[in-house]
Amino acid sequence: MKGITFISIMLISFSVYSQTDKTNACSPERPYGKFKIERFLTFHESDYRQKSGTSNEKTSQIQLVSDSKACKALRIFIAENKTYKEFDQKISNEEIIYFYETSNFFYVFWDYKPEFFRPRMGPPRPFLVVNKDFTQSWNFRL
Amino acid sequence: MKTLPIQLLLLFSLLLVIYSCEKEDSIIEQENRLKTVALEDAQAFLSQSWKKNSSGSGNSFITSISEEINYEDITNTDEELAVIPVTTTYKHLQSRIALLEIDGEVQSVVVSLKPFEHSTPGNFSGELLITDIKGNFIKAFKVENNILVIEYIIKNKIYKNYYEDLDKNSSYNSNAKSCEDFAGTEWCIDGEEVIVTAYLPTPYVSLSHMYPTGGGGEESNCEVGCDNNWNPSGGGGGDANLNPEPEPESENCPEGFYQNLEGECIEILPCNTNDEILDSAALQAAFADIWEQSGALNTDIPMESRLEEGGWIVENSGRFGFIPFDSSWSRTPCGINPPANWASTIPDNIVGYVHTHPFYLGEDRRSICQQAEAEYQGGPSDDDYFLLMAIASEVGNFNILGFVIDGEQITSFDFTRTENMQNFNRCGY
Repeated sequence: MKGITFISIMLISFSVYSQTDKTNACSPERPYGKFKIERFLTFHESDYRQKSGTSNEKTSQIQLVSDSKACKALRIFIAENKTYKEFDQKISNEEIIYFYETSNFFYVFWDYKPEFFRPRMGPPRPFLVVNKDFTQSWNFRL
Repeated sequence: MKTLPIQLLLLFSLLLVIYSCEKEDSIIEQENRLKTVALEDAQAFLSQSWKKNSSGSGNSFITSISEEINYEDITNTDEELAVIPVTTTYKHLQSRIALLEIDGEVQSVVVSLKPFEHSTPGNFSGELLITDIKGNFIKAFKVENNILVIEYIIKNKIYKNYYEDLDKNSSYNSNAKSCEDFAGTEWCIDGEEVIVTAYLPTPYVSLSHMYPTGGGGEESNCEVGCDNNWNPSGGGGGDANLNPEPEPESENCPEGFYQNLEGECIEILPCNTNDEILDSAALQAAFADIWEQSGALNTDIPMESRLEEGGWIVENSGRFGFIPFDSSWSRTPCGINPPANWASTIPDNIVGYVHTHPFYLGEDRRSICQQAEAEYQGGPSDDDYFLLMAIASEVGNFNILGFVIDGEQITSFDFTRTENMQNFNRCGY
């Protein structure tokens, strides 16, 4: 009986841990992910940068968000926004959300998982810019 | 001596009568050589041609034949030309078979028209190609405001088919280095000569051009304008819309603007793009084809039945060509997914790539395109741009251009993403 209880507790713990880990998980590096952010900060519509206040962000500071607290906060932020939550739910099993950052902003977008990634033609998709204190966000289509 | 003037008058009258009789005989003789092809004979001819075509023993130039047979006037004779709308491998041209019995034998030609953008009903401007029913070249003309102004001298075929031969990478004729193709066909213009037919009010074509082996002749003793001609843009029914109506401009928008689905006034961009790629007749034909294949010819077509289409733009000896993406590439209304080995299919002589967005500005495609915006905005997406960059990286050439064709415009872009992005009027294709 003790053995069964122990195994059950272990299974439940593992399940909860997995769920927590998934909720907090940061995204892997997307092929050309930094390049995508760099293009947004350089070549893309200057209007977008002016609107979001990212005109002075330095491309050298672009990096994948690796702090699990930041990833968790981003996931909660998206889950609490009706539009963004809908974006997050309307993806296929081959896709995931990606988080990148510069000094003052997070950049969020959805795309194929690295193992399914390859160049393709497709419609513009949401590209979110979120300031680091989560007080403002901008939804662009790239 | 008084009878001399009377004698001279009589002699002159006699000569006049003899001359008139000879001329009349000549016209009668000419008319007798030409005969209207009876309806049943025309049907039998078409049926026979189509059977040959279907069985593969004929040619594949004509791809479909209408059941409708119209009879149209020929000048200076009571005989009529049997005219049947057809489609040919030149999908972008408006083609008809013209049947006429000459010396007891049914003769056939295919007359194809490519109206220019400024062509209007009753005032045709465009290019006119005459071939036999196998697609062999006979004559080619440029028509401006109903007048045949140029006859093209065409000798070489540039390439048999821009779809097939470019794929085989053996496409170009070495003689075609500096020649322009005619009306988006494979025919290479070697030269041109100005012709004058201004005495004819509409674009009449002499039967002698259409049937050089015996069609209506220009009589040596005939005054100007009395040979046998046919007006290929003169109606007579049929499916071909030879003078497409220009897009009606909205009453709510100022001149030079049109109203889109959202009721916004959009400037009508000039047709002459001055873009060497977009102004290439071969590519315009290819673009017309991929747009047609996209199934978005109008806004009434359900969005879910449309498909993105596209291909590579190549250049060889200053001439542009088009190679469609492999048919195995997955296509949806919202995108094209190349396979993992996509890079191996890039042609060596690539200068760009083009694909369609089978939508019109303002259309709501959220129900069929994942995460799509509420209103289609046009232009390339990040995915489209990154494919361009991936191609450029693969071939080591960052001058490669991308083109997006949608229901209202063509957008070109380069490695700068939006900095050098340009929108062009589709100019009818």
